[in-house]
Amino acid sequence: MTSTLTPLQERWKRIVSNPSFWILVVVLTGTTFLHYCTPQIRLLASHPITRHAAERIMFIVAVISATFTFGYVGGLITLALVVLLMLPRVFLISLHPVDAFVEVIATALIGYLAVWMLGSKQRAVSRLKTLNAITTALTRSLELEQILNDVLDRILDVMNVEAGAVYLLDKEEQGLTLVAHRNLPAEVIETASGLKSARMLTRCEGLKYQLAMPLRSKGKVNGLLVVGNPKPCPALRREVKLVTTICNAIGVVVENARLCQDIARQLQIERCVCEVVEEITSELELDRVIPKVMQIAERLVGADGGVVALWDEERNVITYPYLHNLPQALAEVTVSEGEGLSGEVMNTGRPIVIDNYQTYAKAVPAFVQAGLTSVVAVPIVSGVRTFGALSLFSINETKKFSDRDVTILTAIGRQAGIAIENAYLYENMRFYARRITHAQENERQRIARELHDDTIQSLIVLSRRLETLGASDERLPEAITQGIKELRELTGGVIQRVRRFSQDLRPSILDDLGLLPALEELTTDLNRQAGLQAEFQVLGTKRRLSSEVELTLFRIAQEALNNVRKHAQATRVVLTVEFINGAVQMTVQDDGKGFIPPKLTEHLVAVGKLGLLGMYERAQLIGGTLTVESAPGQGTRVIVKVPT
Amino acid sequence: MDKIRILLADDHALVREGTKELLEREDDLEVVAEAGDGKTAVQLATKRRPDVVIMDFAMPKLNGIEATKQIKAIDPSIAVLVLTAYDNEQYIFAFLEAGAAGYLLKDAHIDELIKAIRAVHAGESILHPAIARKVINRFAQPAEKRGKENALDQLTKRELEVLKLAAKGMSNREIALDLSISVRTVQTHLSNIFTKIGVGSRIEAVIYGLRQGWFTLEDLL
Amino acid sequence: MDVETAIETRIKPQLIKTFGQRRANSLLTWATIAYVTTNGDEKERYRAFVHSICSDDRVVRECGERAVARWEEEWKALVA
Repeated sequence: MTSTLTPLQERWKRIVSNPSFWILVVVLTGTTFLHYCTPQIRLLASHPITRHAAERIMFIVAVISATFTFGYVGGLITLALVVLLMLPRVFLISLHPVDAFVEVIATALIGYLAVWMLGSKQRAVSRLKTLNAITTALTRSLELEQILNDVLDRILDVMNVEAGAVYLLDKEEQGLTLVAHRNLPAEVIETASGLKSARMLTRCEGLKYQLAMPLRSKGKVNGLLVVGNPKPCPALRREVKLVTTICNAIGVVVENARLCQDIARQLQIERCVCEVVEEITSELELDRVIPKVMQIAERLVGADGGVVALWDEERNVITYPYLHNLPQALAEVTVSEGEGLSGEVMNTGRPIVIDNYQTYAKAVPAFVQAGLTSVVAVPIVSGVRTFGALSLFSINETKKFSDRDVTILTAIGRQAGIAIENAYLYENMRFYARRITHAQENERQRIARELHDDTIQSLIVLSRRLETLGASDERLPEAITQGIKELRELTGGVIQRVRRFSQDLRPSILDDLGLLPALEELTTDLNRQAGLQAEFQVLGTKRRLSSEVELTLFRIAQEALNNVRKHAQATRVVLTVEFINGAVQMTVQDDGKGFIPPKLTEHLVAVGKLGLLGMYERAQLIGGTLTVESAPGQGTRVIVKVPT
Repeated sequence: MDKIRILLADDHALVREGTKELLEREDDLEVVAEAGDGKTAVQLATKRRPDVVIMDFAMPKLNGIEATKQIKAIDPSIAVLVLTAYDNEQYIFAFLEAGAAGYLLKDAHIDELIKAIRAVHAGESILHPAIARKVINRFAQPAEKRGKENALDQLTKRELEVLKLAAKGMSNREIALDLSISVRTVQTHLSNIFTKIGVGSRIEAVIYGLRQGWFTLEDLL
Repeated sequence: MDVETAIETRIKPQLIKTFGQRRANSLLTWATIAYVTTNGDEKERYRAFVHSICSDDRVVRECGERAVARWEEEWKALVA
């Protein structure tokens, strides 16, 4: 059941329900009655206080208590009533009207003094209470909108004013924004321009009696508080000081809240940029880096989706290989140089913000169809090369991208450029490394063959001729026969060593018989030469692999076993080749002294393990992986896994 | 007596010519064909069906191992002798797995070659005992795979005995002494064994027996 | 004419033309604050509005005292 009483009726109801009111009524009635009762009763036989004096004191007490209970106004009303109650006696009953009248005036004055002093004190106390309550409300949270609405309510309540509004100054002084309002006319609320709204409010006929105060923080204005009432409101003038204090408090809070927002925003941006940098420096696989970077950028500016356009040098077109929240078919779209938003960005090297892509002159139809609306595009550059463009957009509704957004995205674009350049450099490096390795192997093979076909053959012929010489029929001196024998032995030794050297360069077993016999030979050799217990085992179904893979695996095994022989101080080493579905895995495990492997492959150079780095590179060249597991005192395991 | 029919395969024409000349000086040897590459070697072996093939390992078009495999597939009774530059174990195992009867180093003396041809044709071993031992170790099956029973499906008891002694590394004469039979009988047994299991030489037969599990390492110690 | 019309048709365009959108916005914002917080009738408030713009340091520096004084007079005369 909602009340339909006017405020006045409400107040009357409140007063009437207060028991103090009834006590007051009783006291007044009683005192009046005593005042008018003719028989003068001496209160106390010996006491000089006359009854009438006692009544006057009672009246004053009543006035004071009324002031306490009902405030300044209540006190004044009661005082007026008391005077009215006393006057008739003065003119009608009293024997000494002049004296009585003077007494009434005195009573009235004392009463008024009491009311005024108490009232002031009460008002001061109530102001402090209001200020306290408002400050508490202001500092309860940093939710600006919530606080401002809360505080506005309290102010309106305290000052007994009907309507009010809080405007905040735009951060870059570009206007005012209506943040909180109560009981404002619709047109003031609905005006798009905050400035117009404020002016309209000031002119508003329905709120003729207004108070407008700026909100300040550290002397700087950062908003406006406007309160207004259709009827005259004394509080508006009286409480100006209080309102000023409150406005300053609000101003400070507003600034604090904004600073917090700024800091939070800054932190978030920094975090995103750190994420981007981390992504870029921990990965060389473009297909993994670019999508991640794009998503981070999206989150940063609150976009609906993103696309990375790259310049394809071979085909001389712009392609869109990386898409997020766009139909995959767009990856097939290509445009020529300078076309489309990406083309323009790549040509000018500057970022571009488009409010409505649907009406953009150079829009690419496929993207228009996808619903792109607001777009921000930044170039992806590294040094002087422009690789492409990173674009972030909203779909089907416009979005405002701020200057700050553009600045951050430009920085991210540069990071992406670095990533792409690294990836290209890495690819080139791998390409050249491959070619060099090929050339090296070919050269080794050539030398080995020449040694074998030419040098060794010649040595064999030499050996045979010496044999013939030594076995000739002519009687030769003992010394010469002996000499020839020694020469033959020497030659035999040379042949052996050249053979060995040729085998080391390019083992014919590998070419003739394949990887497995060649590896078995390596382990047998190790057994024979180094006194190590070397084992070779094959797991899974044997199969031949491409000559490049077989050669690489052989070289890696050669290097690994060499390391075991030279450094490991091991007693046993096992070389395992395992054939699995789609791949082959080779493991060299020794029980030697082990070492602490570095976390990143690059550090292999730093710790002097160039051999390991070479193995790692070789494995990478054929698309495989190499891992080293080792710990001091726990041996070493080198694992190569290659897809076939 | 029939001459031993020989196919020479070597990509160096001069070497071939030289070897042919020296071989033909022997009364019991006859060179019936010459090949300059692996493919031709296989073709000629198919056509002329020699007793022994002298094959250089390193040949164009088809290397010695492949050519050996193919020739053995066509006619297992042909004995293939591989000439190699390396007496590396891995090569030897590879040759024997392909079905060769033996191998010789390329720079071996012609006399050694002639001796080897005759020995192979007579069913003798031409492997060095040390190598022979390694071969047995490699091809022997683990004890569980004993298949003595089905040996007697293919061979007689006597033949199996002969084969086992051959696997142990004994020469024909030693086997004859051990079983108290004549060398000629041993040779005949061997010849029969070769025909029955479809091989062309002693070592092939031994390897076959090892693979089938007719005897294991323990038997041969 | 009334205040809003004066602002829309004369003051705002002139400011945008001379100083560009951003600075114009800034000047209008401060002028509005002056307008709202001035005690008095509409005319007094409007005059405070115009005065705020015409007493801005940069405006006076860039356009010269005389030109700015002329503007002030002109604009104040717009609203009776």
